[in-house]
This record gives sequence, C-alpha cells and structure tokens, in this order.
Amino acid sequence: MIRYSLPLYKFTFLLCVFIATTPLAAAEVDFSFLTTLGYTSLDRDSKINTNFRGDDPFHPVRITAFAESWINPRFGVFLEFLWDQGAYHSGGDTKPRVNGAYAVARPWDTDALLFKIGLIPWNFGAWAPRTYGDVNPLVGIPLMHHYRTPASSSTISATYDELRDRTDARGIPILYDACWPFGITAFGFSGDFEYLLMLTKESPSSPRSYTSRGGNVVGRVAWNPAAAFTLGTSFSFGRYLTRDAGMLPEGTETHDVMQKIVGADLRYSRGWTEINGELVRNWWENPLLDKDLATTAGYVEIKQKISAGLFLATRYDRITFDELSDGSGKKFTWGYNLSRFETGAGYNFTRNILLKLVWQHNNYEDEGDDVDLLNTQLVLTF
Amino acid sequence: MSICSTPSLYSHSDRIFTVLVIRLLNNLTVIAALASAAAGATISGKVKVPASTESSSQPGSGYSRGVYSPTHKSSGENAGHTSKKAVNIIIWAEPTGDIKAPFHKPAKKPTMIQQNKKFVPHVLVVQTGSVVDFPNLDPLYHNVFSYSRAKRFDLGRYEQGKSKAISFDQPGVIDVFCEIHEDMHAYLLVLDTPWFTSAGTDGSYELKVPAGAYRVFAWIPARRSEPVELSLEESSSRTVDFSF
Repeated sequence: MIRYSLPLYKFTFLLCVFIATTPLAAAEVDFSFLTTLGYTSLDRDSKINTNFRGDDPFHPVRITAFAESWINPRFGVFLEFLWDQGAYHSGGDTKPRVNGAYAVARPWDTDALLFKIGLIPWNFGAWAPRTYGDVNPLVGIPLMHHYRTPASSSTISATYDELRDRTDARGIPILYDACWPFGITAFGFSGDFEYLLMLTKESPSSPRSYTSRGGNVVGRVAWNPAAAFTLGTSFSFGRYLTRDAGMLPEGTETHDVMQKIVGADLRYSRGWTEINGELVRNWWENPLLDKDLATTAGYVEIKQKISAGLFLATRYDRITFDELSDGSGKKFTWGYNLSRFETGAGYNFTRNILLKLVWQHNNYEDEGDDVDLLNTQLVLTF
Repeated sequence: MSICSTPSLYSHSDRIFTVLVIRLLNNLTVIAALASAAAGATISGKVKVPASTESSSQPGSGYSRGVYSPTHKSSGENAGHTSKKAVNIIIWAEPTGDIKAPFHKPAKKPTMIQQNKKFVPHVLVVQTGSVVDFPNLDPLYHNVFSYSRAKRFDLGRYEQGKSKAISFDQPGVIDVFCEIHEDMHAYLLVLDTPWFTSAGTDGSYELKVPAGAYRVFAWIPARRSEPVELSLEESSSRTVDFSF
C-alpha cells in the first residue's frame, strides 16, 4: 500500500501548481532519477545511520526522482521524490515521499538576490548539495546531519537524573539533512562572497509539519577568495519543540524554547584532491534545567582521484555531548560520544554508473561498543 | 659501448641522416596527399537534420539540485543560461583503397576552451594522434573529464589561465564533461582521416579529397549516418546527401 508522508492536500496542491504552470508556459520538464542499490554486511541490522522517518543511505534500494522546469529564465519549479526501501512515517509501509517542492526566482538581472520558496533544502553549512549518492564519495552522511541524539522534541527531561537515564535514547539530530522544511530562502552572490537567509516554519532538528508554531532563521556567509578555497560560517536560531511537548513550566510556551547552532565549513579542491570539513556547536534549551543540552560535531573528508573514474575517500567524523552533573554531583555526558571513520573507493564505469565499496567504523567512545558496516553500492543516474 | 648492447651497423650521423630522410619522405607524402586533395575530387551535398536537434534551450541551467552557479563567476554575458546553438554537422571521408590517410598536423593546435561555463567549440574534430589543449578562461574551477570508450581521462580541477593538454590516439566519439558544472558537455570527434569538414547552417557541405575510393559519413551529436561508399576520379565530383 502506498501512502504519502506529506499531507495529501499539500502534495496535491504542489503537483497541481507544477502541472498547471508548466504547459501554460510551454516549458520543458526535465525528469531525472538517482538510484542506489546496496548490499551491507557486518552489523547490517544497525540503525545507526537510519533517519527519523526510517530512510537510510545504507538501505538496499533507494530511488530519488527529480522533475525540473524553467517556466521562463526568471522562474523555475522543482520537485524531488524519494522512495527508500524500509522508510516509514506513521505506519510500517514502504512508501514514496515528496522530499522537496519549491520554486526558484531570479527577479532581476543580477545574482545579488534570488529566492527559493516552498519545501526547500536546508542550507546550513555546505553539506546539502553533496548528500546525493552520485556526489557523496562515501555512503554515510556526516553525524551532524543525521545522527539521532538523546534530545527530544516532544519530551523534556525534568531533571539531570532523568536526562542521564536516557543517554541511549534516539531522539532528534542536530541538523536533519533528509527532511526539508517549508520556508523561503533569499540568497545571492557578490564578488568573492555568497550569502543566504532562510526563514522556515520548522527547526533543523525537527522539520515536521506539527513542530511548534514558531519559526526558524538560518543564515550563512561564505567567502570564496580563490577557485580552490571556500570558507563559510552559518547560524540557526529557532523553535524545536513540537506543539504537544509536555512538562513545560508554567508561563512557558513551546515556542519559547530554542535551538541555536553555529558552524563553520571549509572546502579546498585542486587537481585530483578535494577536502571538505564542517564544525558545529549546538544548544537545545531545556526550560526545566539551568544548562542547555549542548553538542559539538565535526568532520573532515578527503577525496583523492587515482585515475580517470577511480577515487579513494575517507571521512573522520565525531559528535560529543557536554558534561552535566546528576543529582549526586556525578559528572556524565548526556549522550554517548561517538567517533566514526568511513573510508572507501569508487569507480565510475560511465558518467551514470558508479560503484562504491565503503567501510564504516563507529565507536561509542564511553561504552567501547563498535558498529561496523561494509557496503557495496551501485549508483545509477538517468 | 656496453657488452650487452647490440652492435650498431651505423654511425650516429648515419642514423640522424636516416631519420631525417624518413621524416622528409613522410612530410612529402602528406604534402603530396593534401596537394592531390586540393587538385583532386570533390564530394558535396546536403545533410538534413531533424528540427529537434537544431536547438536546445534551458533558461535556468545554472541551477541544479539546489545549487545555483552565479553568472558573475563566468567570463562573459548570459553565463549559466544555455542559448540556442547551431547544430554541428560533420562529414568525413575514410579512404578504402590504396590511398593511405596521412597525418595532417594542423597549423594551429586544436583547442577546446572553457568559457562562460561552456566548452567552445561544442564539437571539435581532430585526427587520430592529435594533442588537444583545454584552457580554462572562466574565473572559477573546471574539471574536464571523459569516460568514453575511445578515451578515458580526467584533467583534474584547474583555475583560470591554466591549460592542460591530452593526446587522442584512438578514433571515436568522446563525450567531454566538466565534473563541477554538469551542464557543460562537448564532443570530440577523433577521426582516422584528415579529410573532414563541417556543414553550413543550411546543411550544405563540400569536401575535397584525392582521387580514390572512400567511405563517407555524416555525423550530428550522438548520431552517425550509414556510410556511403564511392569511388572518385581526378577532377570528378559527386553529390552525397544525408538525412537523419
């Protein structure tokens, strides 16, 4: 049975807009598909890479469909669907979902100000364009963009002891790369700089339609002084609790409780070498505790081509949780610090066929538990 | 002289003289072949192409999967917006008889530039054995590569003002792309003959060849015609039309 995770009326509305406007303008619609077929061994049942809605880049079959149309040189419409074997929302069924549906407007003959409106991609940091299987040199995505921390958008821990007892819970990530928000992005380019300001209905941690009534602001400035080098900095500030979050102190509303993130990203590429890195510091406010739930996460990734079509890639990734004190004064980290080492090789048979072999090693530093995944992935684009 | 080396029957100056004579003969062969082509036979005609291949417009091609390529990071106007482009029709003749196709070194080194996030020209024809330059004129990185059967190569990322060259030793059609800008695409047609030309905008062409037997082909991006076999005598002319 097929169900849609986006409310049906929204999906229908978006599709109608797309279908109605395109032929009116006699514009062409470009369809393209990205399919990943994978086989995972070792700790294959691990959910460490699984997102809130059940999708996982290590799943055996994932299909992303894209539809793009430029109505005129100033206005384009984009749709993105994802079908992931094993994804779910409220039920247990496998079903496709609308990942993104938005318009891009370039109102004036300048790149100083453009807009994206609709169900838009997150643009905190520099990861978003590299999340697709044909661009990502590995299989997993960085911890900061998907790893489910013990923080919750619906349940607030009333005491530090309660927080300590849910150290192994799987709650919300710092940035939920795979789930896009409704909102508007203004972005532009000037000289060596690019910027964006994004106003969304939801926060990067919990971009769900039933998230709090508040909004969220994301900003980013990137400096690109030379073709080889880009340095960016981002911030995000907004509400992360769901409307039904309970246990709030008297006088506090869900939209009073904030998530704040700051980050930096770096990119260097030259010849056959590409280096990417990101670092973020994140705070979730808890109105019942005097300290925020703070995390730090970062990664460094190197891709090195060996010959035409053949490359090696490695990413070192880490997420850490701040120390807090429980009722007895004993120190504890409110989540398990996790380090990840992912390395692999890829070979492009053609521009549309890529084969990757990747090993991902996860180490829960405080517990000493390891999770290892060995994945072979075939990426097809057409 | 090492005891392991083969004793030379010739002195060093003899060898240089021999090499020079061989090169001179080669050059004379090429000159003779081209001269005979100039005074030889003519193949002319018209190539009819379907209207759909004559243009390709995608106004917002500077944007893809959430990534917008700013136009000011190009070296000219309207970058990122693919304008209408003329169809590229190539016609060539491969000798089938006694005539051997000589290597014709072009007066100017074949070059495919990267400018305004496009490859220029969109179709470049070279003879097997040619070395092609790929200069980057845009104020951003490009990464020229191809996974085509006739030649796999990847020139890596390099900046404005830099150029890289690569030789093409096998005949065939080579799809050239930029790894960074997915809309950038061009064709390199590597032919085993120096006798090729491109058709005008109306599809008409004229090709001078030496007298002899030939297989004549026409090509438009991604499609090649069936060969037309013909034999030409000195000062003769033949009309060969193609239709796609």
